Amino acid sequence: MGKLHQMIERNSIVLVLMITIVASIGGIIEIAPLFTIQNTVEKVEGMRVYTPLELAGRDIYVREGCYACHSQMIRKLKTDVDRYGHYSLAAESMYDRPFQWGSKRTGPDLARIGGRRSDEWHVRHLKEPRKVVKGSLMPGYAFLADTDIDPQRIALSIKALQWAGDPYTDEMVKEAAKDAIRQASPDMDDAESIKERYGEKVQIRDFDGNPARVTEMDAMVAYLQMLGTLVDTKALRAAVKAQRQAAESKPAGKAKEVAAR
Amino acid sequence: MSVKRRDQVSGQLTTGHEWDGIEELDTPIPKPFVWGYLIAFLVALIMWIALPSWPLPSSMKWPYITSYWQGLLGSDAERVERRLAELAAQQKAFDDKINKADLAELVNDPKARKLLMPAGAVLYREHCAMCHGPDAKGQPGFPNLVDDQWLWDGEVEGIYTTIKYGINSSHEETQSAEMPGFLKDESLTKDQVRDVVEYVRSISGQEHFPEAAKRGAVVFEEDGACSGCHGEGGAGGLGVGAPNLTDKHWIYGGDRDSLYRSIAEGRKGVMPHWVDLLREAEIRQLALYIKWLGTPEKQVAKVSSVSIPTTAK
Repeated sequence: MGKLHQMIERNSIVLVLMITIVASIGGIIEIAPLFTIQNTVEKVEGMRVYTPLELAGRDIYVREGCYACHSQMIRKLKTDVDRYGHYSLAAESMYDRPFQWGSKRTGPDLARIGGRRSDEWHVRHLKEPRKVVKGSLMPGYAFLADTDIDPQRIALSIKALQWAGDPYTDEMVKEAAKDAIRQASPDMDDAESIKERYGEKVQIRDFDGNPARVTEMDAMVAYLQMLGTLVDTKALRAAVKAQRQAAESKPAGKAKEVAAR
Repeated sequence: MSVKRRDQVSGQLTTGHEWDGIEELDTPIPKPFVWGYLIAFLVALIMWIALPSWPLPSSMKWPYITSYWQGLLGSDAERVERRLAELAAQQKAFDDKINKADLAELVNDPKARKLLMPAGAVLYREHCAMCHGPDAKGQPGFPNLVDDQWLWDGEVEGIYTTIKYGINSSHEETQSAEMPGFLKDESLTKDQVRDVVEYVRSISGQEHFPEAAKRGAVVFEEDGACSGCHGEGGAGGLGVGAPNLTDKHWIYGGDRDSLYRSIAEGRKGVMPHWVDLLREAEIRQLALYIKWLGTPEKQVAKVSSVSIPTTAK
């Protein structure tokens, strides 16, 4: 044992100081970058916070452990992009707490599942997966269709997220409980008002085929149908391509900077 | 305490600590572990430089740190875009041939059929089989694609349009059709709905109550105006998304419960639009594939002027 080591080990104050220094190096390297995450995540047009109904769906997704078998991250690999669409962007999970990237696919990736199946398919598949897809390993979630959502609880979640820094406006928080119902009730007079708060792209319809109730199935399908649809990836890809082509004619140093963006 | 001595059994030095006669060996960490630790450390450092890793200050104004170290290896995003561009370049010749060819001619070309069927099957399995079934025979709620019944235009161009823009989809050019809920919107009474159920069962050759069916026939042709979409006598074939009710093919089921639900609450099946998700040539291949699936090979005419390069893929 070295002399220095022996000195440190025998002098408790020095030992405590050294431990503090070593531990904080690890801490700084791991934690410090997170403080800049608001500035360094590249913004993408189209991203918005979850509507109350979608958030309820997301909470169910987490509650039921869907992430254990489904990833929500299309990797930057040719095979992934070819099959699932544009690779996932960091900004696309900026309102996910926690993110649902996942590291294992027993079922397919769901990052861009929105719009690829009909609501009815989703409802039936969630109720009895093997009736729709032969040989599927997925468990059934029929009880979602029998369980009403709790709008007050969702409103509290929205409030908590606003407190945590998500850009929910005060109006969104105030209307959250009603918005959760509105999004699944197209027949309501003020159903369309949800678009004023969350944008024109919000899908308003009776997702679970049972107009009498707003169930967890409504929430789940609303969430699934919205996944990956917020960012116009076609326009994004075209924009990046144009940028790159413009950069090629400029000096090399500049080109690298633009392409990296 | 603190006098190091060599342990006689193991031959190692002790730490010099002693508690009630118990001493501690001062065995050094095995060399491989030390090296492993140092190498891991080095790898981490190299990765740190090679990959995007650390926020960087980029301006003198708040919030100062808005950029990050891009890494020496370049971005994966760029790499995958390049590979996709290469792939597209490889496919271009093939795609162009398909995009330029006339679908109606291609569908009668046995050579094209032989060549394109496997590709269509792969596309079908990935994108369509979930709803329409691996054998394309459909399932409750999702139409059979290999029978001779078409809700919409069943020619290859019609199938192409349906795949491209969908049915009741969120695309502007979608084809739209809806079976209204006649009980829901109070245009028929419960009894009338039951009568129509019996009538539909009668025209589709199923067991039924003749008297109720007779009353249902009147509702079908007059009060409910069902024949407006389903054709006179429910024979369908108008290409507006309303099925033929006189055959044995059912989308939602021909039993009393399913029929009652269809008439009372309505139906509105959705087919997503694929124009944003698939390449033009892929949509065309799918349309051909589905048309060919429902057409026995010998019915395909032998003559055709269109040829597809067999090497391009």
